[in-house]
Amino acid sequence: MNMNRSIAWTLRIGIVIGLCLIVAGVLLEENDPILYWGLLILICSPLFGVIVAFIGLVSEKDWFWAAIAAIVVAIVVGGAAVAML
Amino acid sequence: MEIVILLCLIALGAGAGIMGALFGLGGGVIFVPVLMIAFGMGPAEAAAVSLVGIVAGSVGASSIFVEKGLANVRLGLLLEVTTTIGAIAGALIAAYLDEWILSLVFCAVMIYSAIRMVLSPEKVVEPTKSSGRMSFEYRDEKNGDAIQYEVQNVKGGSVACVFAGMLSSMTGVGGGAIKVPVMNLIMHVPMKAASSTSSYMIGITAFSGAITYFFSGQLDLAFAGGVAIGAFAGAIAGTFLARRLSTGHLRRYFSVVLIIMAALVLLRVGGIL
Repeated sequence: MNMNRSIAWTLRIGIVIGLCLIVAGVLLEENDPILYWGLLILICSPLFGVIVAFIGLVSEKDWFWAAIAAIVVAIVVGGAAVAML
Repeated sequence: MEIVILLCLIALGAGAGIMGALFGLGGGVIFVPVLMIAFGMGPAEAAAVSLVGIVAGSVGASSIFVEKGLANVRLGLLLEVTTTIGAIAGALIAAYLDEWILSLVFCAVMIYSAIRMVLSPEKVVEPTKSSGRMSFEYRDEKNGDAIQYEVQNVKGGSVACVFAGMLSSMTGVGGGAIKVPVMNLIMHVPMKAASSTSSYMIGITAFSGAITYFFSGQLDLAFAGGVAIGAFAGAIAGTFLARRLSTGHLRRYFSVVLIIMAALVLLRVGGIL
């Protein structure tokens, strides 16, 4: 599977699982644990997409773009970690 | 939650999702005031729900745009780095500048971009053998053509994205309004690829803010859930429209949206919104 398809499927799986849980949570009288996990999976989907992009670029031995993807992962995860401290 | 409120949240999310998929804009400039005025939310709560809506719309649209090759993942990641550098610099500088000055600069840039997009025709440079890593391709579903393009002025575009990130973090308005014109007007990325790439990028940008609000407990889960459902549905509809619109129409509609966004920012600066 090429990199674009891998990223697309990662995003698709993230949003489908996330939204199924969100809809279930909303329908079941705002069931907070289900909503919580649904939203968490949904919110993390872009990060999973970037990680898959990094893996895809490394497997293609496209080192320039793999380095860029690694920097984005570091910035995004680091930024979120700093903001949460 | 009352069903009427849930339906209103879904409708709000759907509107923003369509805008995000069509134009690569997050829609925070609309989300936040509507959530505050119509739903009585505080600024932080509204921003948190808005970010979740942006992520849902971006992920929904990108799952299609990336597979079709419309969203340029490599370029998006590169500009994500430069935009983030700008956003950090902007957050540091913002304390020393008045918000109204920054907002006026932002509006001026948006209006200038809107005029340029209407008046100047789109320039796409076909790749040559020396294009190397800056040569890309996608298939335009409007007419079935394979569009090949070479990203030009990478340094200039990257610097402009630093500026976009700076203005974005200083004014609180999403960077898509500047990044799309930068990609299209400076880097000569075709409009459809530019807006799709921006749509992919806004999800990554919004992730950091959304996850922070999520773990700080400032996110209203039920409101965020309603907006996310709508944003996803809107994004799917938006991707359908975006793939079938002609480039000329997309650029003209984008210019109109930029002018409306500039007007909304001016109203906010004037204390009306």
